[in-house]
Amino acid sequence: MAGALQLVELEQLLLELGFAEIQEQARFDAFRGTSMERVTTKYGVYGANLRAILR
Amino acid sequence: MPLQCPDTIDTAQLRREIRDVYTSVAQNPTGEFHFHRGPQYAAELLGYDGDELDGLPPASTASFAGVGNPLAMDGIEEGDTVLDIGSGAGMDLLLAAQRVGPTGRAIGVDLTLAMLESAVQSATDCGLANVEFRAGDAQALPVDDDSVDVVISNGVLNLTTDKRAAYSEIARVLKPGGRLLLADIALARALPEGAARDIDLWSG
Repeated sequence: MAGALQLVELEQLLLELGFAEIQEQARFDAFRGTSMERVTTKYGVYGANLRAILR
Repeated sequence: MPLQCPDTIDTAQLRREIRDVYTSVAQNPTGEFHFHRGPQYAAELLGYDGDELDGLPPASTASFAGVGNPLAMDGIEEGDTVLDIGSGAGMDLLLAAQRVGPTGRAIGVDLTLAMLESAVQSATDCGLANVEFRAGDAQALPVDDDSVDVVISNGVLNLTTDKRAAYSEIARVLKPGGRLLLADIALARALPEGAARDIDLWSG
């Protein structure tokens, strides 16, 4: 999880690489009930669906 | 989070640790891990269609360890060429192969040999002739330029040590107008410096 980006960082990178129509479409509580739940909650880690189109 | 992992992290060691973790998942998906696996998790927490998953070889779903649901997003059409980066045991890729049909192609790339072997067997068991798997790295995809209509990935790109390289590769292989359907973990806020330099938090 330490390699995850904030969505704003990812969106900026995708824009720089020529992507458009970047949309976060869903969030998931992917660590609920795991041994990592406390850590992921502490650091605000979540699963996300993101869609983008290459121009 | 910087786009490259901290220089205090040994990237070769990190790659070995990631490969070891996912080899273990492929060989023993019901073992002890700090993340969820399997079709029940996929259906209950990520919104996959349980009946659709029941139709896949159990080996392809048991080792599933994604964090979202790229196939829930619009963008895959009949005849498309779909690339799954970090295809693992093949669950998302097999579902994509069914959607693109016999006139489309589904290509899986993964770093972990045990996952690739399992996925090849599952594709054979499904009778899907439009699926192929390649050993490779997200930061150097074994895929031609401008050759892919849709890139999917699920819980993998956060593991890459150079995000600009990995996403540049996606831009390279996608055709103009191609779609990225990404599921991955994201941060609500920047990690503290100590956490960002913890190799155990990188590989998990």
